[in-house]
Amino acid sequence: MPIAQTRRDVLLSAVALAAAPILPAWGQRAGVVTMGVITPTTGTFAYAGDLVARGASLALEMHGGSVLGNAVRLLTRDDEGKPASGVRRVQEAATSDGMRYFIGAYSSAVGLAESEVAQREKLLQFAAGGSEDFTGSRCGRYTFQWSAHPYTAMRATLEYVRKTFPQKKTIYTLTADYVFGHALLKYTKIVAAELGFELVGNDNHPSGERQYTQYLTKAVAARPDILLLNTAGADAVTAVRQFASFGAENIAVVGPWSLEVDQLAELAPEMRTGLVLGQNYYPDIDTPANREFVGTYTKKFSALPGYSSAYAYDAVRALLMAMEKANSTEVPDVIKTLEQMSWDGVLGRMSIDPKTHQLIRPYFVVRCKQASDMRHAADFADIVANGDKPQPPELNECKQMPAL
Amino acid sequence: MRSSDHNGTVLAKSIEEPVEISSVGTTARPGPLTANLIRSIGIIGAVSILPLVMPINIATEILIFGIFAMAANLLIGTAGLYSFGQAAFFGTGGYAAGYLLAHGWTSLPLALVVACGSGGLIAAAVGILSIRRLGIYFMMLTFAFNQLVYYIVYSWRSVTGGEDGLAGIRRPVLELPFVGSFSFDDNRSFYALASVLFLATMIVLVRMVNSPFGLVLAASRQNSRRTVSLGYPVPMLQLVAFVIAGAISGVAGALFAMLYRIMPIDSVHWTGSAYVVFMVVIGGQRNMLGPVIGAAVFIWLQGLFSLVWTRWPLLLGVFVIVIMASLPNGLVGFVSKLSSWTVKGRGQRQC
Repeated sequence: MPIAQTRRDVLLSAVALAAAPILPAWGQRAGVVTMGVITPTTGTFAYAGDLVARGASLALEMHGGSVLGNAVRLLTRDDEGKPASGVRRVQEAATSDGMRYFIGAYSSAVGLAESEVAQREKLLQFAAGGSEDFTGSRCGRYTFQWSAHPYTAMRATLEYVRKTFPQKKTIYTLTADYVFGHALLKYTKIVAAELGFELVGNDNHPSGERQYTQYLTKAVAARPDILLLNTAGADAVTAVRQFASFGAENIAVVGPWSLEVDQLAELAPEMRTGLVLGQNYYPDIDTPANREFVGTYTKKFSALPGYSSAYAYDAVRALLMAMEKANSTEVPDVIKTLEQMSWDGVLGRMSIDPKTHQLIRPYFVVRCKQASDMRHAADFADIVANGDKPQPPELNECKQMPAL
Repeated sequence: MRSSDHNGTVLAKSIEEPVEISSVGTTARPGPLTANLIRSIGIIGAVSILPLVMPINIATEILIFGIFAMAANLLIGTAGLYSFGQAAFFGTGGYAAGYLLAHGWTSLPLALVVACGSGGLIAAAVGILSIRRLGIYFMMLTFAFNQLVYYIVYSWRSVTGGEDGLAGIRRPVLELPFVGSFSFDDNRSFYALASVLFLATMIVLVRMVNSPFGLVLAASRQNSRRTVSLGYPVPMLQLVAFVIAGAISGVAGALFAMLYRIMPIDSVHWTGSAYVVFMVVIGGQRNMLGPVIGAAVFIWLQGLFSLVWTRWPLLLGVFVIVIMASLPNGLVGFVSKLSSWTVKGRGQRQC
């Protein structure tokens, strides 16, 4: 087997090899701030990609499309929900398009991989995801975490349950068998001990499980007061659907980080009635920034925003505010400003913990309504509580933030 | 395998596609000096130009996946073994070298030897159990072993980082006595390292497939039973090819881990095995430039299509279908056919 059959083949192939993959290189242009939305538009989390992009573009549009006299260019790139693709897109956008800020990555695994590139290339990443490692063992000076810490989420949710249903004391957990689920289980144990709950059993299920009856039968047999779903997305939808057919009405179903607004529509009203759910975002949050966001979003897209859109909107909005406050679009200046900044975001009064880069923010608890109480098709639940208790410092694994 | 020349001729006469084998045999003989020189300059020139016309990380990825695809082509194009488990060896090499580099070891030769050894070792284990199975059974077994390796990586969180991938990998250093040490922290120097390994792999693999070993593999691809009947230990030689491809895939994996300083878990997923088969098929299986062109086009098209349409995998799928349906010898085969048409057209005009 030769390298190629003829000399002509070699020359033509060499030209093809060199010339085919030419990508348009914009370079970093003066007077332009380039922000990336690196998000999945294909793969498991494809549904979230468009929603993240919507939120980011809306924030930019409402800000006038520029900051400090510089035009802001928003790049959208598909990370496919895969870490390898995510790092490739981030590196490529930084090298060829002069991207210096980015948001996105619905999956924690992708976000954490991109975080490595962010630290090395000195790009500001405003991440979202359920992994505590963003602000723990893999924290970095260039990465900020918008989503609540799993401890905050668990504490807010179980605190509501403790106050509202004081007679309910035993918990059975159903946990997704990957990092996100394990983090929630870890904090279930810690918070249950703090609030006086007793854990009577746990089952791990693989991601993408379609048959939950074997776990639910065990859970019902253990006679817990609460079934705690440490699982999310399509898995949580399927588990709730199947649990509804058990008729175990005396067992309260609680999901500390399980179902967002986008997924609640997939459940029949009788299946979701009474569910207690923790929420990173809910459209009914009553803050001036959120009212403005929901109003504009609904007008533009004829739908209520969910977690994905709200995260992108709020993160881009916060970055633009930080640039203005710093009077600079340079990444180190913006980082230093964000670390000290306190602002009115869509969730309320918000700030950043400079030691971990975790957003200090409230986490919301909602209770799903009966069909007869719904005012419109997307009026699934009422916000019944919120909590912002941060992770205890002794549990945090972020050793020290490096210098810029 | 020392009886090469004589047996190679016998083989060429005895198998079903004598034209192709004899043409391989012919081109195996050293050509004119200028032809070899032009070939070498063409390849080195293309490798040198690559980072000037695209982001250097993409250029480096093309070389890394070029190495990976050439190794896969040793199995697919030469031996006719459609392995759907090559990502397991790519991942094993990447994780093994990555683990060392993330835990204080910095020696480049050590990292490459470990990657090569671990990829080859796992390939030997998988190969021993699956090489005697034919066709679809071989494919399914390699696929199953790939998923086995994937779930080991997924579950062994303390070593591999599990779902979040192996982070904290540092690029190695090359210590040369009397010369000094070379660091590859800069992306350009790392590209140079990838280029050297890419060219070295190409030379080794081209020489290997032109050797008697490669001829017997090619013969077994066309008619395995007849090759066995001639007295060649086909399963043993296929196993050796499988191990060599695994070891080279391990080196590619190690380079990938060093490139982004992280070893993501999807690099060991079966889809990576499918992608490398696509690369070989797109580029063409009948020479070693084909898989490299396939890797370049595949990586480039992913980026290009993803900018055009959010549902871009559909476009990529259509492209792969078109290539498979209309260009059985891949893009390099098409270029070859095109150039022969051009020459024929000129000849006719001159008449």
